[in-house]
Amino acid sequence: MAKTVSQLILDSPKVDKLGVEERVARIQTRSLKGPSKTQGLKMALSMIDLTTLEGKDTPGKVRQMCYKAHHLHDSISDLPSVAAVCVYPSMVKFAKKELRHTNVKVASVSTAFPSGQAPLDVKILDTKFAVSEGADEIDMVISRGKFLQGEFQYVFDEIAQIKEACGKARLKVILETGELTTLDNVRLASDIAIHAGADFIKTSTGKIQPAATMQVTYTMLMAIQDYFDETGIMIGMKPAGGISTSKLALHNLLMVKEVLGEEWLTNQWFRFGASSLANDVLMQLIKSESGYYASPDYVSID
Amino acid sequence: MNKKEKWPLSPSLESTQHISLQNQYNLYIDGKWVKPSSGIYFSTTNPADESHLASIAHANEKDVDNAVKAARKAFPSWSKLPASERAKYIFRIARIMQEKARELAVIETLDGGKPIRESRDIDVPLACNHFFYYAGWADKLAYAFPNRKIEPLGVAAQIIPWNFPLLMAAWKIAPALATGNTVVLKPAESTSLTALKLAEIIDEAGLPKGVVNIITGFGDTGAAMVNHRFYTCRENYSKSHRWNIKKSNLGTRW
Repeated sequence: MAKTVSQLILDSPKVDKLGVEERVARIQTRSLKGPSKTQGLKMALSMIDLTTLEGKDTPGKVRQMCYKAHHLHDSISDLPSVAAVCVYPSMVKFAKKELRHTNVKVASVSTAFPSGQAPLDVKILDTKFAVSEGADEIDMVISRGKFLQGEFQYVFDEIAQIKEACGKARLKVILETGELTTLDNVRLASDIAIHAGADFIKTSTGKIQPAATMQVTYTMLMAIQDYFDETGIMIGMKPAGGISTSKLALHNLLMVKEVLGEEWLTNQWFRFGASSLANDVLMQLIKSESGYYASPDYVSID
Repeated sequence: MNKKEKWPLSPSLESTQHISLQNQYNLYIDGKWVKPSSGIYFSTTNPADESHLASIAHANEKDVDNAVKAARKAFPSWSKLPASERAKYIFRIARIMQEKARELAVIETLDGGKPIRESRDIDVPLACNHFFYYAGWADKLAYAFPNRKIEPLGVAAQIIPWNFPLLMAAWKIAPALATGNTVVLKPAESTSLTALKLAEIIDEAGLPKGVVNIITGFGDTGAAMVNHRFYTCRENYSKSHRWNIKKSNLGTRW
């Protein structure tokens, strides 16, 4: 049951910042060992959206990354491939071609990523272009300026229209929490995005600091939890930006397990947006296989 | 719980190698470990898996009587000891407890089922601090209660519950010793181990014999303590306590 924006503004709960910080701090003291660590690391790998979003991206760079997406480290057996690659719309067709025989999905950012400062029809065009190039998933940014001005209806309608433009592609809505400044805003933006039709909510573009802090991710997980309790519909979560170590990734997974439950522990419902996380996880896995920490030179450069 | 977990977490590291527990604990009366006159021992268990930890003596009226007599005998010399000398003993107990803090915390958790975080970070440090605190007060009581004559009362019978086993023992024993009283203490039957470890510590600290007596058992032991004629608590308190014990005697397991 979708709510109107005015209902959402009334219903969206205020966030207990200290409570969130305390809960996150407890999770961050946890240390995973043994088989559950290995399993967690492999799970983290399978949830990564391998990302390259730079002005200097070339088809060659994208092809190299796509190769890595399904050949993470061939000397370790039974490694999963990553969940998806995430590129600019103009790179979608190269990625799609490279990944045509694999399960790896192609995600494309759109709507004038990363700032989102473009007219709505340009954003729709941007989205339709990416979908027509073959993108399986669309990562859109919300208009943070409008949100902070209080034009929540505009933000809601924009997401709804982009969702329509996506067609069959799954829609991830980037809130860019670093620019929303408070957890209350993060919660309201999450609720707006979810009710406007997002399949996934995502923390950040990766271009703004702070990006995916665990406090922000926790707040968004709570929004997903509340929506699930109300409607029984699952929404995905994607923390992106700033998650570059295995430990942080495992803490995020633990948080998902304990807040939402194990149903969310698949790459259908949880993703990491990261470029350097994969290498760190690989080095941890190499260590657990061989007993030695390898030099970063033994995993691919990207 | 029978649902199979997709991502089971490995059990956390647990080690009980650094604790020393005896198979059987007797009663600590008059500075000695004596067998219960009934000859009965009961088992104390780990509530997490109900495994047996140790056998503990069940004191009856005769044991209580012996303990109170020992405390009575120790009272004159202990109460006449200069307060600063009494404080030295209490400081010594506090320091030995600190040295064994880790062992005490693990035993507290094993025996009582408290999360280790709580026993390690709250119960045991606080218990040590209470001994330090009351040791500091021992020779300053005249300042605490100006214009009052401070004198010890005699033998204190102390019965403590299971929710903060060692900490409660500290709350009871430390002030009683600091003010010059002698003690007969009975911990809860479900959480006796740390009190018995405390008896070992008190023994190690060289406290004069009979000043602290620690006996174990069920409610009947407690009832025997409350009903003992040498009990030196105020009459009205004693009466209400006695009534409570009688009431709880109805239909309970002892």
